[in-house]
Amino acid sequence: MHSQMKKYIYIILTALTILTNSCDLLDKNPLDSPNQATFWNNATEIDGGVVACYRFLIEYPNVQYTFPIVPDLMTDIGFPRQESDAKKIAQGQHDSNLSYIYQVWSFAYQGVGRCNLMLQTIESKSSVLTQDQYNQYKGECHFLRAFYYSRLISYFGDVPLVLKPIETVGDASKFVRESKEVVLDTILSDFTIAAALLKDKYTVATSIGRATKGAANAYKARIALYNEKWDAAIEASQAVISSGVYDLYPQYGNLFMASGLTDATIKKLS
Amino acid sequence: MNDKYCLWIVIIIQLLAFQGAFAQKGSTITGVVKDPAGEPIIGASVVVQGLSAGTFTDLNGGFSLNALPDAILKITYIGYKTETVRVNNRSSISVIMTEDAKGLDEVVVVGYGTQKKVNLTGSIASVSGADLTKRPVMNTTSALQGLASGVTITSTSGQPGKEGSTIMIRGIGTLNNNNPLILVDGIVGSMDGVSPSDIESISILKDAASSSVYGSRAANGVILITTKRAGEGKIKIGVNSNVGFQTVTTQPHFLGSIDYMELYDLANSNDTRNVTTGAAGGVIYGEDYIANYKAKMALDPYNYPNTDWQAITYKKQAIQQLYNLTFSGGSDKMKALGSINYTNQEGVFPDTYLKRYSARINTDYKFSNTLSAGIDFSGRHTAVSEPGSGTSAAISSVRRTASIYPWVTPTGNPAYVQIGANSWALSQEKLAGYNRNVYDEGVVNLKIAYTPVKELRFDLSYSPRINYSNNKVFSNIITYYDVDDNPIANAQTRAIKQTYNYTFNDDLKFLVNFEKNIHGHDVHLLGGFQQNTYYGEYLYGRREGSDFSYDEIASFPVTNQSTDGNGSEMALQSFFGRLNYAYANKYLFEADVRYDGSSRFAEGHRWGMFPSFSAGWRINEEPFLKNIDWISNTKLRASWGRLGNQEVGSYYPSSLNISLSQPVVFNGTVSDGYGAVNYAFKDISWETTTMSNIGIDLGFFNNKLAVAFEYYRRTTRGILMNLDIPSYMGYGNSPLQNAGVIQNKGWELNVDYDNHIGNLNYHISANLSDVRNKIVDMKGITNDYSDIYTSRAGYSYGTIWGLQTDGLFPSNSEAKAYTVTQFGNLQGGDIKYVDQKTVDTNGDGKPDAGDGIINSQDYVAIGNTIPRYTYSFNISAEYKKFDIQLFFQGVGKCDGYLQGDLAWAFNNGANVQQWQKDGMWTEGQINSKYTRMFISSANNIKTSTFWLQDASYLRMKNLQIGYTLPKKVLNRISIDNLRVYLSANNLFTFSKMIDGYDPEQSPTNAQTSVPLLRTFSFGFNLNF
Repeated sequence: MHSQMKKYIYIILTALTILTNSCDLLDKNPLDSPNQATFWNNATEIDGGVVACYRFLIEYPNVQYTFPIVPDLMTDIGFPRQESDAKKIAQGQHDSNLSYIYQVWSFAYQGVGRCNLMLQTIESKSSVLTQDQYNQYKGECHFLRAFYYSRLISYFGDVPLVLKPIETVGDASKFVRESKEVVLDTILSDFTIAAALLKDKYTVATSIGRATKGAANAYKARIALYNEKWDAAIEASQAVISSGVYDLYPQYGNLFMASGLTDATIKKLS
Repeated sequence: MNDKYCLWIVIIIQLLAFQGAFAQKGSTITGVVKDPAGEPIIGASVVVQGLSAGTFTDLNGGFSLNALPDAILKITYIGYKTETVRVNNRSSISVIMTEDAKGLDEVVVVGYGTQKKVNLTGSIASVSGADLTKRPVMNTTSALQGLASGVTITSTSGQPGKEGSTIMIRGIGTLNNNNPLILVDGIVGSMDGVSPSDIESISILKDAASSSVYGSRAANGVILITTKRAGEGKIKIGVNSNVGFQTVTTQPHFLGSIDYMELYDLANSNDTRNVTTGAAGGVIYGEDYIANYKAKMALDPYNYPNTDWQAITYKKQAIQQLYNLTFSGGSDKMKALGSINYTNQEGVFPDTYLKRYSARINTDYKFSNTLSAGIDFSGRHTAVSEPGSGTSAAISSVRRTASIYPWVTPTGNPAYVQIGANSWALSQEKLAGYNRNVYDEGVVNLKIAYTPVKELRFDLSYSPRINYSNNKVFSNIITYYDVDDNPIANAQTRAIKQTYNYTFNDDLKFLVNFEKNIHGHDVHLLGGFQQNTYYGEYLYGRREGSDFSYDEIASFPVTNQSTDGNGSEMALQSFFGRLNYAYANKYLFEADVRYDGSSRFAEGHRWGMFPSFSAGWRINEEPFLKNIDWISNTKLRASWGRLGNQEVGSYYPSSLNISLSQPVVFNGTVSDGYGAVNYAFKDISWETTTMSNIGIDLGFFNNKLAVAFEYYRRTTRGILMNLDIPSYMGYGNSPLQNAGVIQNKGWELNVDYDNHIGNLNYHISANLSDVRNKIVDMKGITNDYSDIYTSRAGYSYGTIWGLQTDGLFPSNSEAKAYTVTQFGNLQGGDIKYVDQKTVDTNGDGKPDAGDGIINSQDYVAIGNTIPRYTYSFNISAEYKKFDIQLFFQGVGKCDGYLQGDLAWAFNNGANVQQWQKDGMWTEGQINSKYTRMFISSANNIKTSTFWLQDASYLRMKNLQIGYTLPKKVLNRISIDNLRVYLSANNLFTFSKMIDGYDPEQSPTNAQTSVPLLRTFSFGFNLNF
C-alpha cells in the first residue's frame, strides 16, 4: 500500500511538473503595439516620438476646425450658425464643464506630457543619436513644450507646471497651480534653448515644417509681447529679422485676398 | 507455462466477443424483461456477470443465452436501474426493471463531478434535457427561460440569430460583463452552440459554494451543460422533427393617411396657438384637401397613398424547421453517441434567416476496470443573414414613416419617400444588399481516466476549440423613383466589407479524486489543475464606389480601400481543491478553494484566492424526524464564498502602450509618429464577489411534494470603472480602476408536486424569485445614458431617472396660471410636472418647498428596468397515451419607458398610432393616456412618469399536446416509441402595456428590433 501511495504521488507530481512548466504563460502583452517601458531603442523610434509631440498643435479634435478659425468664432469676427461650444463661449454661457474648454486643457497637457517623456528619453538614449539628431530633437521638444504652455497660460492663467513625466497618480496629486509668471519664465527659457539648438532651415523635404530657430524666436517674441516682457520680445524678434532667412510679404493687402492664400512663400502653420 | 498463455488467449477472445458464440459448460437460459407497466423492454443488455458475453432483448423483451446454473445475470437499460439476477438453476427468468428513481437518488452535475442531490449544500438548479426539448425553440437560451428560479432570460428581438438574449443569474452584479460562465462538458462554450436535443442535463450553479471551484470566472454564476452519452445496449436511433410557423406577438397600430392628416392639422394648430388670446393656430392640410384626398385615395394609391408600412414590409408568417437524428449504442467496452442537427429559421422580417448545421460524436472506451477514455467531436456551421443596411435601420423606418408616402411606383419600382425611408425597399436583399454572418466551430475533447484502486481516480483531459467567422456586408444602392417613374438622384455609395475572424481556445485539466467511507464518515477530496489559453485574430477589408452590383471585393475600385487587422492572446492558470464530508447522510460539509492566475493583470496582481464553505443538515435523518413517514426530506443548508470576475473587455487592461499611429503631416507628406495615448494602472485586478446563501429543502409524501426556499446576498467589490485622472499627467483617457460596489439581495421559492388520479399522472411545478439590486458605490460618478437611464450610487442599475407628473392641464387658462416655470409656453393638455421640495424655507434643515422651476434638481428615480418577482409555473399531465403541458411565465414588477418615434406622434416626422388617437387629451381632462396632439413640444418630451409603462406580464409560454402511439401498433413496424405533438409558444399574454407593445421587449428596443414571435408547430419524436 505504501508503494502504491508513492506511485500515485509520483503520478501527480509528474503531471503537475509537465503541466506547469509554462510559468510565463501568463505574461501576455498586446500584439500590435510596444510597451512604453521597452520602446525608444533607436533614432527612428525617437524621431517618431518627437513627431507625435506635434499632434496637439491641432487645437480642436476635429481636423476640419484648425487653430486660427475656432477661436475667431468666439469673437465678433465669426459667428457659428449651429449650436456649438464656441457659440456658447461667444454668448458668455459657458462653464468649466464645456467640452471645448476641456479639450484645450487636455490636448495641451498631452502635448506637454509627450515632450517631457521625449526629453527624458533623448537624454537617456543619447548614445543612439548623432549630435545633429540630438540637437534637433531636443530643440523641437523644448519648442513644443513652450508652445503648449503659451497656449495654457493664455487661456487659463495660473496652471500646474509639469516638467518631467509623471509616473503615478500619487505623484500627480502633489501639483498645484503655478503662478503665470513662473510658467512664463520657463516658457521663455525653453524657447531660448530651442532657438540655440535648432537650425535655420531644413534641407530634407519631409522635414520642412518642423520647428526652426526662427520659429522658436518668433513665438518667444509673441508670448513675451502678450505678457509685457518688452526686452525679451525685442531681442527675440531682432534675432529673427537679422537671421536673413525671412522677409516681409511685399503686399500686405493681398494677405486678405485670395491671391495671398495661394502664394508659396506664406508660412503655413502645420 | 503454455497453459497459462492459452488461458490468457481464451479469456482475451472471450472479452472481445459480443455474442457469446464460444460454447461453455452450461445451459440455455431464456427470459423476458419488462418495465413497471408490463411493457416489454426492447434492446436491454443482458450479460453474464464477470464475462462480457451477452445478448440483447428482442422485440418481445425476450432473451436467450448460455449460462451456468449459478451465474449472475446483469441487465442494463438506459433510464432504469441495473438489475442483477441470480440464475439459481432456473431455465426461464422474468425480470421487471424499476425506473431510476427521481428525487432522492437523483444525481446532479456539479463543478468537476457529480453529487447526489440530497447531499448538495450549495444552491444548484437542475434542468433535464427532456424539459428543454419539450418546448421546440430554435436555441437553447430560449428553452431555458422560466425553468430555473433565479435565472432571468430576456431577449430583445425576434430576429433569427440576433435575439440578443441575455442570461442573468441572481441580478446584475457588475457594470461590466454580467454573463454567467457557460461550460459544455467542462469546456467553455456558448449556449446556442449546443442543440437542445443533444443536452442530457443543465446544472445552474447559483451560489458561491457551488461555483467557487470555478473561481475567477464564476462571479455571475455558472451554467454546466452536459451532453448526452451513449448507454449500453443495441444501437438505438432517435429522430426528432419540428416544423412550424412564426408570427409576431403584437405590433403597434399605425393610423392611415386621413387620420394622420387630420391629427397633424390638430397638432399644428395646437403648436401655433396664440399665447395671449389662446386662439388655435392654422392648419397645414385643411378640410378641403383632406376631403379630396379621401375621395381619390382608393382609386389612385400612387398619388394619394395610404400605405400600411408594417403590412407591406413584414411577412405574415415565417417557417421554422428543426430536425435531429441521434444514434447511440454500445457495449460495456465501447459506447458511441452521434447526433446530427439541422435548424432553419426564416424571419418575419424579410430576407432574415438562420441556418444551422451541427454534428456531434461522443464516444466512451473502457480498456479495463482501471482505465477508460473518451473522445468527443462536435462541430457546427451557422449562417445568419439580414438585408444590407441592417434590420434596425429598416425597422426604425417602418415605425416612423407616415402613411401619406407611397411605397411603390405604378411600374413596381421603389417609391421615393420624402420624410422617413422606404422600409419596403430597405428590407429586401435584392435591393439593399445583405449582411451575412457565417460562423464555424469545431471542438475536440479528449479524456482519460485511471482508477488504480476504488477510492482513487486520476483524470486528464485536453480540449482544443477552433472558431472561424466571416462577416460580409454588401451595401447596394437603391434607386428610388417618383410617381412618374423618374429616378431620383441619390448620394449613396455602393460598398463592400468583409471581416474574417479566427479564434483558438484550449483547455487542459488534471484532476485527482479520492473517495472513501471511513466508519460512516464519507470523505471525498478533489484536487485539480487547469490551464486555458486563447488566441484570436481578425482581418478586415473594405472597398467602395463600384458602378456594378457584383458582391465581391475584386469588382470594386482600389481607390479609398482600407484594411485593418489585429491579434490578441490570453491565458489562465488555476489550482483548485474541494473537500466533501458527510456523516451518516445527515451532516454535510463542503469546502472549496481556487487559486487563479490571469494574464489580463500585471505581475504581482495576477493571482487571486477564491474560497467557499457550505454546510447542510438533513434534519429528517435525525431520530426525532426519521419515523415521520410523510416527511421525506428536510435539509437546511448555508453557504458563503468568494468569486472573481475578470471579463473586463480588453485583454490587456493594465498595459501602458505606445500607439504606432500618431502621424503628422509636414510639407504635404505624412511622417510617422509614435506616442502613448492611454494611461493604464498596473495595479488593477479582479472584481470580487462575496455571496452568502441559506436555504431549506423540504420533501413530503415520499417526495411527491417538494418545496425549496432560499435567501441570498451578493456583493461585488472592486468593479472596474473608468475614472478620471488629472489631465496634466498627459494622457487622454480615463483608465480602469477597481472602484465600484454593487449589492444584490434576493430570494427564491420552488414548489414541485407529483401525483396521479387513477391513470392520470400530473406534475405541477412553480417557481418565484425576486432580487433587489443596488449600486452602493460608484465613486461619485453617475452614468446617464439615452436620456432615460442612469446608474448611480444608491439606486439600482438601469434606474429610470426623470420628472414626476401630476397629470395634464385641463385647460389653457389653468396652464397659463401655473406658477412653476416649466418649458416653453404651456397650454391645455400639456404635462404638469411636480416641483420637488428642494428649498428649506424655515431653516430646520429639511427641504419643504419647491424652487418654482422644473430643472435637473427635480429629477428623481421613477422606475426600474430590472424585473422583480419573476415567476413561472408548469402543469404537465399524462393520461394513457396523451400528454399535455402548459407552461406560464411572468414578471411581477417591471418598468419600461416609451420615448421617441413610438411615444410621440409626429416626432421628427414620425407616424401617429391608434392608442395616441384614442387616448388623446380633450378639454377638461386632468389626465389621459396621451397628451394633446403636438408636433414639437419642449415640455412634453422630458423624461417623466407620464411615458412610463408597466412592463409586468403573465404569458403562456408554451402549450403542448402530444400523443404517443401504442406499443402494439409500433411493434409491428419495429419502432420503440413514436410521439406526435402540437405546440404553441407565446400563445397569449396578460399585460398592462399599451396595445401594440410586447412587455417582454422593452419599448426602447421596439423602435429598432423585430418584435418577439409567437409560433405554432407540429412535431414528432421517433425512437427505434
